[in-house]
Amino acid sequence: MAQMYDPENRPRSGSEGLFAILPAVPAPHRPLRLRLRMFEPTDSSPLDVVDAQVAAAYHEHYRVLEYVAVQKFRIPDEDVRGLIHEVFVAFIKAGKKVYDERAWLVGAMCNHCRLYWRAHGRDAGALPLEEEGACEAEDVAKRVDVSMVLRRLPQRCREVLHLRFYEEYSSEEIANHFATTIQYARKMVYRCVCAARLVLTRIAVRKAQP
Amino acid sequence: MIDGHYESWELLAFIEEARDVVDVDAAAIHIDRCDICGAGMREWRSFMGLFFDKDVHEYARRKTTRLFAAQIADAQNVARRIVVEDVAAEYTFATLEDCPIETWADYLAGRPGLRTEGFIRRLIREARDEYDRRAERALNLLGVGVTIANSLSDVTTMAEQRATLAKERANALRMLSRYPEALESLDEAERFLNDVPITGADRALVDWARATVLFYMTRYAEALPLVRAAGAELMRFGELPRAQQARLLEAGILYEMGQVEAALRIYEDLTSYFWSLDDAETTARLLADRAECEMRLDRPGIARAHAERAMRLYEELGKPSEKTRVQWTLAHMLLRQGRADESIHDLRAVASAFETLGMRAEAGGALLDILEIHVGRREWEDAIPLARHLAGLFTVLETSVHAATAYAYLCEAVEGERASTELVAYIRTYADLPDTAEVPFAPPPT
Repeated sequence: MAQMYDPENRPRSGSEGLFAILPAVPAPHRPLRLRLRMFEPTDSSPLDVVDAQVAAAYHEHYRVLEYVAVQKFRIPDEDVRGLIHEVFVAFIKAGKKVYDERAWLVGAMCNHCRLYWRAHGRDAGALPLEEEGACEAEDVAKRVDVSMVLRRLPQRCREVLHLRFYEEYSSEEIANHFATTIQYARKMVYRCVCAARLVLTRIAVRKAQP
Repeated sequence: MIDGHYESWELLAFIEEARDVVDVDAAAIHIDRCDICGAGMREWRSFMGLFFDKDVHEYARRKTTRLFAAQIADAQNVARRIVVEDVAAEYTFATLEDCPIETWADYLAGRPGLRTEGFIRRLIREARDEYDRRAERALNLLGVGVTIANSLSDVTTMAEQRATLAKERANALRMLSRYPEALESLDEAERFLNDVPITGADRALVDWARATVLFYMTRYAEALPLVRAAGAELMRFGELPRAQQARLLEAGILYEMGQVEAALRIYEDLTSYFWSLDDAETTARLLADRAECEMRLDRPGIARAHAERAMRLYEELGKPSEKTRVQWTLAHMLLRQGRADESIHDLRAVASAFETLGMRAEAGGALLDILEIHVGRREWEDAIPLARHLAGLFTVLETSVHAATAYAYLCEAVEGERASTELVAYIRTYADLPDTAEVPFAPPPT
């Protein structure tokens, strides 16, 4: 018989993500008090580093999780924050089991939203069948970024893009709305799309900076 | 156009098919031929596609919630608690290690501060190290974990831990050949997972564990689609290393289903992957598996080369039991080549090595191979003491009443000089079968 492998019982490779910085558990031959001293919160203690990493990860993923809860699952506003927090705490506990932080968080958020609606008596068949995975999580993150871009655009540009893409106005309808020519209405749309892309690029550059 | 390439606004006009702005037909031909304009157009299309999503506009307009400092502080506390608990758990474990496991629950019952998730994690880590050699101990450790999990006050935390423990218990039960119980344990894991925030990848791990159990139950047709789906799901979450490990199981199933070429292709593919990760242990296993495949494909030279490389790696890794398993494979290879005496010599060495390592069931398996050779050659003076030894061994092992009965039946047949190689092969299946009411020992049809 070919030899078999135990799931999960293999040495892990690749990025350890947030938990890469967690200190290794020391060997049990030294007294506990001595070992705990390693983790007293001094200026450079590992726990301070953990704090910083947790805060950074929470900030980084919060909007994506909110988007999933609000836009995909229509969770009421008053419950959104609590659900996100539960998922984030589960994420921290999952620790080294997580390979792709964003994919895990988005997948867990979808699952948690389904649990929420099930607990509130909604038929599981009526819930959105969101695909989960790294690509889907990246897709959600892109949408959040574009939403953030829209917020930063001038009011007129936001209105133009809203009419064109949300209301699906034709160039002629946009021209009528703004009392201008069709050609100029088109130009407005192109300019606003280009402006949005410029803002997005700036956000991406800022994110990439250490 | 600038320098023979369309500008962004022209590409946008093309996407919108604004014929009064751009010559759409001419642009289509140019974009098809020009890499720069083609790439630019694809980028714009993908970007504009996001604007067509109504959710994007709605989310941009809504008043978003704010991340509170208290939430961050709470998450930080959880992360800190994990670190501190893990250290304390190490200390608790060292304290308890010398006491019988049966006493641990009582000890912990009076010390609620020690009943932590950290200690459950420590128990699981220990249990994983024990699967191969002392699965019963692993099961006991996980039992202590269940007791602690049940005492946790937070319902979600309890469900998380119970799910993990149930999955681990399934692994330990599998190692003990208690397959139906292992499947039940996986059902339990799934039930607990229904109540916690997890992802498809977490469920895929349970499916993978289930496929492994089914594999050992020889239910290959059920195991194969399960492990393939689990691997695909893990890939979706970017978990390439685990997805590749799932492929190892897939190859193992294919091998057992007789699709040796297909299995070999996967093994070859994976060898370079795990070698590039410096994962010597998995590389060694892959080489051993490739040796088995090559042997089945009647290419003994290549098989021996792979097996020897695998043994060298195991020796470097300090894994004598795995090295002995490869030696066992080599002994089978000699037998296939008709070199029975050399094979007996090697099988004795294998049985002795397993015995030294305390792996008595495996030692019994190697001895059964020798018995089969003697029975085939009707060498009763050698076969009888061996059959008696095996019957005694499986009675002592108490792994399965049905296996012990089967070996006693075989012993009687050998003593009466009525045994055949077919009977030995028939009996061998009982060594691996779980001890369930559905498969009590029945003598082979005459």
